[in-house]
Amino acid sequence: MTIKDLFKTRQSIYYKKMSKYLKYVMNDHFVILLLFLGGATGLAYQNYLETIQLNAVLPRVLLLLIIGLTIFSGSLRTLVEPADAVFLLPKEEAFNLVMKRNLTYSLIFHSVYTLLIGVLAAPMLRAIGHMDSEGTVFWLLTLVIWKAVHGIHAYYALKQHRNETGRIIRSIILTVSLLAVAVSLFLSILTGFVFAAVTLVFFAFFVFRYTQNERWNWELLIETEQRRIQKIYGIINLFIETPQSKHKVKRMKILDFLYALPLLKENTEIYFLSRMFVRNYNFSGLYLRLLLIGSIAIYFSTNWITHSIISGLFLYLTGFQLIPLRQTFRKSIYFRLYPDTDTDKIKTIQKLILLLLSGSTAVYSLASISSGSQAVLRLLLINSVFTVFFTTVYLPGRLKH
Amino acid sequence: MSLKVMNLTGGYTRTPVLKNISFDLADGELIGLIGLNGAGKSTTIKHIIGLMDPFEGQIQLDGKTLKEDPSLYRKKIGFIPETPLLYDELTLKEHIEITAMAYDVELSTAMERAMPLLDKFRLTDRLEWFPSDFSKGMKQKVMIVCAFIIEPSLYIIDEPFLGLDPIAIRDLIRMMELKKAEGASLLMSTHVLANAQRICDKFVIINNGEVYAKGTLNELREEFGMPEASLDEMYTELADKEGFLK
Repeated sequence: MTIKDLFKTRQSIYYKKMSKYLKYVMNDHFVILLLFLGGATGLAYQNYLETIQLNAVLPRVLLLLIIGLTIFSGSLRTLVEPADAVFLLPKEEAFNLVMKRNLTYSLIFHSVYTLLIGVLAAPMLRAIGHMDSEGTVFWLLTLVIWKAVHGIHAYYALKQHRNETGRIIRSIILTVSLLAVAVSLFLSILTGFVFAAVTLVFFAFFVFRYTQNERWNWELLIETEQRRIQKIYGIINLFIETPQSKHKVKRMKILDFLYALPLLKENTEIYFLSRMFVRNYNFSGLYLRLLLIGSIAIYFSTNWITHSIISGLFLYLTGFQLIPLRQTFRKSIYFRLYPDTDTDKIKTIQKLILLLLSGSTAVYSLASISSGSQAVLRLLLINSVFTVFFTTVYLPGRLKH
Repeated sequence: MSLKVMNLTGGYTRTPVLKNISFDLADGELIGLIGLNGAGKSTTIKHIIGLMDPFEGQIQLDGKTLKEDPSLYRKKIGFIPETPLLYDELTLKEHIEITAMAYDVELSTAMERAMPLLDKFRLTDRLEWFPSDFSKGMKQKVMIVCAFIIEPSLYIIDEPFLGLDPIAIRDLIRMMELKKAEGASLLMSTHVLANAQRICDKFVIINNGEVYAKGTLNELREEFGMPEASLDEMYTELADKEGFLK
């Protein structure tokens, strides 16, 4: 088997796995939420476009931020595995070709969402009178070119060079691309396009001709790929249990006072689960994100029906996505060895989720303060009923599932 | 009599990995479980600690099986697995706490017991560390500390010497000998036959899921007619002669 075949096999396994997981991620409630949020955002965007004034500056600044984030996000999909550093080391030349293919694949993938952002941004640029319809083509091309420059930079960054050189190149690329996008947005779309095209030609020449003989930095290759995969699994794990869920653990000493709650000292399971929840960003991060987004949405909406729907939706999402906590017990042999055999693991998870949802209930209710204290009390009542129903009626069945 | 393994037959699927294994482990005794990779040592251990259910036969700890009183049975066992298994999200100190909680040891007592061990293993400054910050040997040391603070009557140690530095190996051997002198029983599986010969009272040689031989070093020497041989010499010779490798 050649290295090319090896990576082809890996790729088909990878895509098969991802599409399998994607099916679970795109479950019914999630799709409904996405449609709901997408619809709301679309509507808000449309309203915003109508109020926009000619030659306004704020939309451009906003776009600069969004486009910057789009261009700088995303990494190369290399499918390198830790063992490669041992087994593929003698085959660097063949691996070069594989990496070029990887680059192409990644560029195609990244271009798709970059184009989408570009298309969505086009009406705004037209509304401020900065771009006509012919300009749209150049605008989109500019974005794709910058994405390509960053893809090539990601490729270059995985090679061995002196730290300093790497840093200089990175800052140059960063500065030039931000500057050029600013040119596109504030001066002229066409100038921006020329700027982008010239940068691409020079940089591609530098990477594929001038430094093409530099060797790969295997440790970095492996680390980067592992990080990328973990990021993907971090998201997938919020929806279903996958065997691949390594994650960085943070100590969060500042939150140690939480564990003083008597409930959290009841037995070994809740002792472990509470700390696991706080320190594993997969769980605590999700909880905080939903708490924040939900609160903001409630704060800015005005009538009690919207409040209740948003609270209910977010409480449900929070609770539902904490169900994988169940898998943490399966992963450890100790909970099968500990002497106390009468504990009910499902009850423990139920308790923790009740505690967390009670927290969310309180925060969401307080977030409706913009509509008066009566609204807060009403929402508190509705949310409490929902939380109790969710944890005592809905959850046990799901956990046993 | 502390541990009694009687006609144990068991395995993962329907085909048994272990066939009719029997041996006894008395109080204050250290038995070495010897065998090649895949011979069935770890599977035997898994049955004893209750991670696997025997197809046939019985395992008694002080006259009781796991089923008769799971809580009491488990409390008597301190287990150190072959590969260190720690909670990613708990610090070293919290590992001690959760172990104390699980085995009903007062936290202060647990810390009192742990401190000299942590000191010995040079882990005292690392109480706030996560497992990911530890090397493999350090993780193994954490496992050892957690097993020793519960002061069980039976220690089960799977491959204790892998990954430990020479000083730690020496300290662990001393700790094991001390526990033995205090009356605890120890079951240890290992490939390091020189260490095993030095500290074990008896040996159970497992091959292909069956007990091939058992007894003290002298009994084994006599049985195989190799009066001067070390455990290592005897074992390799036997393995060659009997075709253990087949």
